[in-house]
Amino acid sequence: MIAVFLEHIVSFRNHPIWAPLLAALPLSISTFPWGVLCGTLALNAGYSPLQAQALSLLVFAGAAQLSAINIVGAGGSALNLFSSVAVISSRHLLYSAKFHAYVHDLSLIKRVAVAFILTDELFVISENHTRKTGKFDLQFALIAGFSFYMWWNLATLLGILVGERLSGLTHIGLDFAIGATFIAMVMPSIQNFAVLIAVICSGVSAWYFTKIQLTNGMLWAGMLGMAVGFVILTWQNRQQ
Amino acid sequence: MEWLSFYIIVMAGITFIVRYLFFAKMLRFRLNKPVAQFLSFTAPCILTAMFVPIVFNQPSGNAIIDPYLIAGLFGMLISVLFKNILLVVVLSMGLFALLNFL
Repeated sequence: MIAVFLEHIVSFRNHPIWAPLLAALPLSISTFPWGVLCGTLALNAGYSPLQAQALSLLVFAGAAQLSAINIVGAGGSALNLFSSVAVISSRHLLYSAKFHAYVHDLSLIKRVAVAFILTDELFVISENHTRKTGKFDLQFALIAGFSFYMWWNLATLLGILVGERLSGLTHIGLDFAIGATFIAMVMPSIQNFAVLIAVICSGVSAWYFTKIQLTNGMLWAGMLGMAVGFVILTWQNRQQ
Repeated sequence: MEWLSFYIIVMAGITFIVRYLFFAKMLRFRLNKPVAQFLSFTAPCILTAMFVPIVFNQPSGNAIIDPYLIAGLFGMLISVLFKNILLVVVLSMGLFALLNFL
């Protein structure tokens, strides 16, 4: 009987749902403080608790959410808000283009589901799995993506609940958690000279633009690095 | 603030559209190679432009050691060495907490 019980546990552990749940866990944990911060800062910026949760439920994009929170908090215009969200999110066009080959034959509802969960984090998780197994796994991506979505929203909920009693969460260093997550995601992607130089250009200009308080400095810094990387890559291709 | 609820819906539309655009059957366009190459720098460059101000642009104040700077540089170092996301986040957060505690 014990053997049967153990067999049960083993088959339960081998169930295909566990692999994607486990794969999503490191980034879910890493971004958890960030999700908390999104909830708390949204309240401080003037969002209602429901609106703060709606950001994570509907917009579901950490960087865009933080930018939206800052702009609303600073009393920025709608145009400023939407253009900033659009430019920050524009990197997802690349992910969409990359995933096109995986999903273009799927039904509308499946394509919508994959698009909805296509964050930086899911892109990294799914591409790692695809590289390992040699093919894209829709079920894996969906389970990983929606579990990440669940963690992100739980974190935001916690931030909303805590934020109503506690202000100044940034002093606990939750903002550093965001930086640490990006560092952990960027460094492994620096695999050639062009990306290295592009990243350095973006980094140095981001530092300088922040120092001189340039509006949308982050976006200009990002695009400057991209342009430099693209020029180097084109030049390298021409040399060959 | 009802206008804010409306703004949230518009933002949700924007973040969904940029993720869905290439999945749309109506839009059968393909990325030409230069555009794809330009876009391939998006993730590292935008993410870098977002983390650099957090790590390098903290107001120094009276502190002799800046926890953001030290823990950030440490995170970059172990990320290059180990390429393990959770390890980098946990260790650099740990060092950050330690430096703040000191």
